[in-house]
Amino acid sequence: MDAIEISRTGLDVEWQRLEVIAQNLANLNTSRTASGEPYRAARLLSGPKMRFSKLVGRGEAPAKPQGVAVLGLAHPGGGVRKVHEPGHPDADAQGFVTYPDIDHAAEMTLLIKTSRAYEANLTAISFAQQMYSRALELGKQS
Amino acid sequence: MNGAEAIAAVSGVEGPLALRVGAPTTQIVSPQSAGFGEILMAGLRGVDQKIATADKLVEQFAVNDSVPVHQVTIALEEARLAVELAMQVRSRLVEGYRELMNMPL
Amino acid sequence: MDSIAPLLIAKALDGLHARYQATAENIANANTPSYRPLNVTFEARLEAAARQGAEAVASVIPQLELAPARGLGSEMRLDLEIATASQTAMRYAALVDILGRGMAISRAVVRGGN
Repeated sequence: MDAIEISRTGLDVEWQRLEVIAQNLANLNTSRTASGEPYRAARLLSGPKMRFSKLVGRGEAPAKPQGVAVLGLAHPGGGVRKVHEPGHPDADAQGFVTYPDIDHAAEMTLLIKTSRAYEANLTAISFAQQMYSRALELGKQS
Repeated sequence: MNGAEAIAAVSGVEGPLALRVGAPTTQIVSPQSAGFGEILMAGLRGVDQKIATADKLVEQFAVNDSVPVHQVTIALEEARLAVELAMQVRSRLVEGYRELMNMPL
Repeated sequence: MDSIAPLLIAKALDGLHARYQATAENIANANTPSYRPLNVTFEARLEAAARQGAEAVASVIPQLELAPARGLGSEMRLDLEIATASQTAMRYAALVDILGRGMAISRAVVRGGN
């Protein structure tokens, strides 16, 4: 059933968004990543799966809804904040350590939104299953 | 003439409503222009058409999950009802024919 | 009847059954480290065979595949496996029901109004 396939893509996307948020939260105090660069907060970008030909005629609804897909990862904002810690092993010449500029409250809000979206997709799947079963009961007597 | 036509001739009407098997677009014609046999054949063609439609939908559904399942069950149910009705018509006709043939004349 | 519908349904049921077993195996391995999930494919081949006729359909067998060791699809996602299990079970039930309805029509003809 197509509707369930669409909800599956929703589940998949929200799950990946959750992983990105978890990664951001885990790296709140990361002063330096393995490559030597400071950690940058990431945001998962997602949107409807559309054939590229449809993008030409922007504004019209897709012929057949196909669900959502991950469009990429964005690194919004400046991304870093500097804290004066002269004794820190990663401090630079002026004694500043760069930490990622992750807004804890914003991440938690997004986490809640993501989890609600995930649950909504699960509910959509269960309703689709009900519809499917009801269609099979057509014509059955008692 | 056969028993079915005998009934039509005697009663003078075009036949009971239950005998109009098939799609609602079947034309209702006067008994003079279309014989009872033709009405019956049209009805049977209607049944055949419904079975063919249902079969096509089942084949499509078996290979492709995008076909809405309610379309398939509705088509199958219509086909089954049409077949059962046609079978009932056949039974009644045979019964009526036998009764006629047993009449002492 | 010359219809290939019952054969198509039977093959689809075979494929779905195999898929359910693979999914059950995946779910059972929820805590196996570096487990490679199993998939079953048959739909594309069945659709192509349906256009060629009964013999082509009869030769379609469900294919068991191992997910790639790395990259997209290599991870075992428990929630998606459960969704697959539920989708497979539903479609299986639908196909069995529809097969039954087709047989009921044939039965009505055989009974002949009695």
